Amino acid sequence: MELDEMKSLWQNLSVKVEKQEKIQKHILMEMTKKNYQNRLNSIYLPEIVGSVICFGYAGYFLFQIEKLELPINQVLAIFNTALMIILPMISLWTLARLNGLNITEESPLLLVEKFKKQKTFFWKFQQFNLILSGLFAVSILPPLAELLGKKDLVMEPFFWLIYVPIGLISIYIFGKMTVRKYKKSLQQAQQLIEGME
Amino acid sequence: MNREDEFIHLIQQNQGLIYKITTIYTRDREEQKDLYQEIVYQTWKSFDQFQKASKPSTWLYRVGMNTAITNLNRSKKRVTAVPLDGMELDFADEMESGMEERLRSLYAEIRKLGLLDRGIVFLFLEGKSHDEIAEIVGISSSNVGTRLSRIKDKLRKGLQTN
Repeated sequence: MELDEMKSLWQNLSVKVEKQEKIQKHILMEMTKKNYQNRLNSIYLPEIVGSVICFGYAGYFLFQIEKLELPINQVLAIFNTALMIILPMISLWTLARLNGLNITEESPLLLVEKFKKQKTFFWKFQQFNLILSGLFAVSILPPLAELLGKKDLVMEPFFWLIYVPIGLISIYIFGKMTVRKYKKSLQQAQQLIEGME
Repeated sequence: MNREDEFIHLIQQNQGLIYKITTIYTRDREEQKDLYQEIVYQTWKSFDQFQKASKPSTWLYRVGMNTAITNLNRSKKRVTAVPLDGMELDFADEMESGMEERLRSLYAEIRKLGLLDRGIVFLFLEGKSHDEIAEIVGISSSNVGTRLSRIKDKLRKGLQTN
């Protein structure tokens, strides 16, 4: 097949598709609105619910800090409250950035480069997040124990031998799953860039 | 005309263009339908920018291509597309069998190209000039010329072996 033939074949196709019945207004709007709703439900909703829970706990801690007698627990409570406020905010911000890729202004080449940069940013954020989560899981226990009237819990050996290791192992397993997912996502972004060559 | 009517008018006027983009960037009918819906959704999402765009046709080509490229490899985590029985996406089936076969060979060869090259050849077949292609894909006009001659060679060879 020669180029002229390719072009004429393409033009034939164009003529055929132009003749096709126009997509119905109600189908089009239903499709668009449902897509919008699906996206909101599957991407933003879990993130928003998670953030609300974190903010709720942060509020609870804030009002309970004065009830803590041990200074170390007060410091830990402040640290954890800050984490429960800052981390969801960063998470929501990164999500907005990912969904805010400007597909109308950028050329495909620039867009894919930005796409990869953002994925790299998420990758680093998740690694950082993982370390903070480990820290959070251990540091939240002493003030929480005091608030629940079990101030001496942290003095008991089984707390450090059972609770803390179980918490850390759970975070490690969950974190590894997350990191694997982001690594794969980063590799796909790399493949996308290679596909542009 | 209100915003919704303008949007519907834009999609109806360009549904063929969207269909053609989805054909060269997907492997099967399901993927094609998902991509079609994604392009329509992205167009709706950024429709305010369209109303300010100096070249509406360039804008839509760019949205279509960018959506297609950034949605590749997302099949597993893609937001579930809306099942719509009323949406038909098979214009090629209505063609004469000879033409349909040649068209399928052409698609198959185009799909073997890199992502950017697929877009370039698509725009070339749409009758866009080198300058217009350069503006849409974001490379220089001379680079478009060089890439196009390489792409044409690849396509010619591929189609001759078929």
